[in-house]
Amino acid sequence: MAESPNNSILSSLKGTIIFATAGLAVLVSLLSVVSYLVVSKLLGEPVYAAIFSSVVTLACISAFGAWLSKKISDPIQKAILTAKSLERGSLATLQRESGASETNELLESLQRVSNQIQRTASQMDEISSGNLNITIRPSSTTDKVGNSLQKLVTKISDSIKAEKDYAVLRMSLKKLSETTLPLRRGDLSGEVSQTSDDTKDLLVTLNLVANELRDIIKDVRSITSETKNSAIEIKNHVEQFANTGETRTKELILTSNSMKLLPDLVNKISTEISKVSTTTILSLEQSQTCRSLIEQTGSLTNQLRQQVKETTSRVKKLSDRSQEMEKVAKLVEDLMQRTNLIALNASIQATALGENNHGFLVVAEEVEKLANRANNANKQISSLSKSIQTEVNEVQSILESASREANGISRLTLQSGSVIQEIESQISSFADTHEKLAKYSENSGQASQESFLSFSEKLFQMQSDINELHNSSKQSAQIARNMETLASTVSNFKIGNLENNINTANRVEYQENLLQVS
Amino acid sequence: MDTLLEDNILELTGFEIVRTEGEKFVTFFLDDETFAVPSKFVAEVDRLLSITPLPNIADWFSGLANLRGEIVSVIDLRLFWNRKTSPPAKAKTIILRSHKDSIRLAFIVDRIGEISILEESEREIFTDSEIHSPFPHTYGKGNFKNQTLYLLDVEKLLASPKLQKIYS
Repeated sequence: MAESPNNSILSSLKGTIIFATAGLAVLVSLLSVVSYLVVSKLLGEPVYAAIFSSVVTLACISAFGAWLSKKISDPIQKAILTAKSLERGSLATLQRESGASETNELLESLQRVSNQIQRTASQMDEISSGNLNITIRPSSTTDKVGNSLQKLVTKISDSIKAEKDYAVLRMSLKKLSETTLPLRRGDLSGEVSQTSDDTKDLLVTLNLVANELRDIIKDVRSITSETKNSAIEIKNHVEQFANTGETRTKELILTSNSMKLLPDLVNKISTEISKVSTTTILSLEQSQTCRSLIEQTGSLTNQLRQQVKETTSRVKKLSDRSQEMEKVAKLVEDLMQRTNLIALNASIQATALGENNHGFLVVAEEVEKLANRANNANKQISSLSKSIQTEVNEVQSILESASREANGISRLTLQSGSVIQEIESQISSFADTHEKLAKYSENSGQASQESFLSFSEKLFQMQSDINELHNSSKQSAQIARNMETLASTVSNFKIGNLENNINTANRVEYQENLLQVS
Repeated sequence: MDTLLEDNILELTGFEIVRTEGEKFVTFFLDDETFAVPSKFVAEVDRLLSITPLPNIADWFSGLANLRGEIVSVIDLRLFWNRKTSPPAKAKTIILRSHKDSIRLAFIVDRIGEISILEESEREIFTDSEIHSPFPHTYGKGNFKNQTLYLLDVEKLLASPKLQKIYS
């Protein structure tokens, strides 16, 4: 940094030159005047005096020039030498020059440059020896060397750090490569454990992918197995279907042969129908008689139903009475028990009263006996009541059954009536049909022939379809084989028993990690 | 008067009065066994009384009953003898005569039989050395209508420590 000179004007080179020039001007003027006066006086010749004074003036100016030259050129020369030595790299200490301050300042500046370069050199030595912890402070923002050196140190530090990181990463990748060796060999049965933080995210992704792959393989296995079984089943079914079709075709061929005889048969049937027609008229008369009888039966059945219903109602009342009787029997039983207790108490009291009240005792005993007898009679009544109740229940069930039967008969009668009516109408229509059949039989021979041709065509088509079915069966077998091959390929992967290796919680964690990675 | 009454009864009903000797017992039933209590100790028999249970007392002590204004303590003989079976719905009560100054006692039985008269020859008394009683508070057994009756020792029952503890 350039410093403005702060020396007094007298000590500076500029001051020296100004004062020396001014002094020289005064001296030269005085000498010129003095020499002119002296010479002109001595010689009396003003020309010689002027020449002499000019010579003196020239001599003074030359002497001043020589002095000035020495005063200026010497420090500059030294400065040039110092700059050259700096250029050569010599950083020796410079001697301070006595005299003008400008030159000293120039030298001091050079000295500072030299010191700066020396400091920079020692810092570079430190850097080259590997010490990057040194602090480099540029003297100013314009200090290009300091700034460059600082940038250089930063760059070198970054490079070293990057190299270390690269080495660590290489190690992590190597470990990861070793850890994931089973995965690369197709073993998905285990979860890859974490090796280092650098490859954690990669590992999470790998495990997730492995788990997904495991699921896919499981699905593929089950699908191949199912598809194979289905294909085998389809093949079997199709074969079975084709075989059945073949059998049916053979049967149909036989049927086709029989169909050739159909026209003759139709003619024969027509003849038989004519015979039946006579019988039909007789049947119509008989069915009318039958219908009349059924109507009478229906009327009687209705009467029977009414009677059964009435009887059921009466039996129900009888059952109610019987139940009331049962209640009365229970009441009597309770009364007898109380009477029995009273008789017993009477006996006890009589015993307590002693021999003189023997008669009272006898009465008490007889009352007890009466109570017992009444109780027995009541039991018999109760038993009878129960048996009546049972009988009534049986009668009720028989009547219900009879009612059901009567209903059934009534229903059957109605149905029979309608059936007979239907038979009548059918017999009537049968007679009409007979005439139509006679007409149809004439055309049926030709129709049968046409049907036979159409049938043969369909039969041929069916045989062709059966051949297609055989082809489908072969394709199904091929699918089953393909599925076996696929299953064998997938079986190279080991998924072990690691069902839900990464459970739901871990899966969520993995997915969160994956999100963080992304 | 008795003779006259007997004659009248004979005339009116046709029942002949037969005098009998021996002790009279009121028979009762517990489960499958038949017991007999001497009728001289029995005040009366009745249906199951309306019993008021007492708190903090043994389970065999059913409670107190009001018998025509008189307080009667009722025990369940089944539980008193530590029998685990349950009484039937229509249980009966035998009320004993008042004993000394204590409260009258009644006990619950399954059902009441009848008045049985047992001759001395028909009774067999238990002795400690020879025959042991199969039931507590019985002193012997008798035979009535081809049926074995276990004779209840009322005094022993009333003097039993369990009952005395309750009374005290």
